[in-house]
Amino acid sequence: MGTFRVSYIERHMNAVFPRWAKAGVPIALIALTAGALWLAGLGTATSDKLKEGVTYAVWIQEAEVTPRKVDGTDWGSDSKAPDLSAMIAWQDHIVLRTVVAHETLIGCWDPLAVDVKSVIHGEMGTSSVQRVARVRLAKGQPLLIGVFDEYLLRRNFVGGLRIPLESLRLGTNEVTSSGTLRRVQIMVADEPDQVARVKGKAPYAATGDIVWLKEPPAVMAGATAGPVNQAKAAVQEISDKVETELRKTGEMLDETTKALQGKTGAAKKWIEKAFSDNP
Amino acid sequence: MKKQLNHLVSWLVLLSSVAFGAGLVLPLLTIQPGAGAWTALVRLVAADQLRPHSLTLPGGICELWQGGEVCLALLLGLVSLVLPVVKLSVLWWECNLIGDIGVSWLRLFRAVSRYAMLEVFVISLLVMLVKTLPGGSHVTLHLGTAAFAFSVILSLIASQRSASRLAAQ
Repeated sequence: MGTFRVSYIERHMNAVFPRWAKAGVPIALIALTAGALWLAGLGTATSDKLKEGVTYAVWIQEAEVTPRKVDGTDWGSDSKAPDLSAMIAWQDHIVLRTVVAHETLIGCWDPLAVDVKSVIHGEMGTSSVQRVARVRLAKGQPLLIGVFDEYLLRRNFVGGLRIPLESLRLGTNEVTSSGTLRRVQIMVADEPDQVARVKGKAPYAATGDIVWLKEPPAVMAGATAGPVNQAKAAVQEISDKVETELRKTGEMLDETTKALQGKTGAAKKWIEKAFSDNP
Repeated sequence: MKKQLNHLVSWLVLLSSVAFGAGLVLPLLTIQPGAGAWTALVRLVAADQLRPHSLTLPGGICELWQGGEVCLALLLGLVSLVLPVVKLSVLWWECNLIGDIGVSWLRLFRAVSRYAMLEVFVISLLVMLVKTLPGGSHVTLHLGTAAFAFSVILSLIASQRSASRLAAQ
């Protein structure tokens, strides 16, 4: 059988290829096998594609905005660069809020941040030092990313995008646009200890059903006016407390007055009685 | 009898070539560094130092080259990439192109190709070396190593058969 096959192949090869071409058969076979496996994505120990049923750590590493807004105006009145912050929403909930990167056109955020309170309370752990969103691959549950310009009492929407998790790979995912939000780097790592592993990998140009947003997504709409609402709530809380305290003080005063009035009445009666007994 | 042996060697060379091609692309091993009892702490403060590292043969050679180990990279590239290809080609030529290539050339190539496939030896050395490291570092072998080993075994058998055939001639 083997003899027949080799002879058959040999006859056909001799007919089609010159004899010198036969010399390169092993090299061609090596190249073909290596190429096929490479194209099949088996060139790495583990595939970088996200899998269902695995929890991933996601964070925004960088967000770059244009030097001027789309309408040509400056970010600030005194040529100050914007104070950038970002949010990630998943399954209709905000799952990550970054800190504010002050006065920059390229906001950078780190996934590791030590919470001093946790250190003092002796609660240092992987979860307390990671500032990442934890998500799972699920159909129809894209990531919503919003980038904001922070002010004292308000937060302006700069730009955002909706990206399916299937479009992302482990490591750095880069998406670019021609809008105000020029570039976003989204990092994805395996849970729970691999946050640092994916750093340093070449960026992957994410493709797929990516939608750039001009308005903040509904889940972040409330957060846009967040500082104002927070300030209002704080003022309301303080006024409620003051009112309660004043009411308590008033009640105490009432009681004291009544007690004094009672005592004064008794003294008056005693004096009147004394005068009537000894005119 | 001679033709049957020729065909057997040809098939062995073809199979060995496929296995060698697979071994070039598939990852050989993954090194998972450890720091013993301090692993959790190191993971917190310098997790980058503990990231697992997978190696393919061309990737490993590139890393050696970029790391300034040019001589080692050249040596490994020669014995792991160039000479195995030469060896498989020589075996193929001996079976199929014996009249077309000069005997002196064949002898030269055959002598050189004896030093091929040393990478399996290198891998075993590396595995032993990592196993002796403290802190629970360990190596996981992948399919690439098996493909290389398979390729080496097939080429050895092919070489023996070819040598016995040539001796008979």
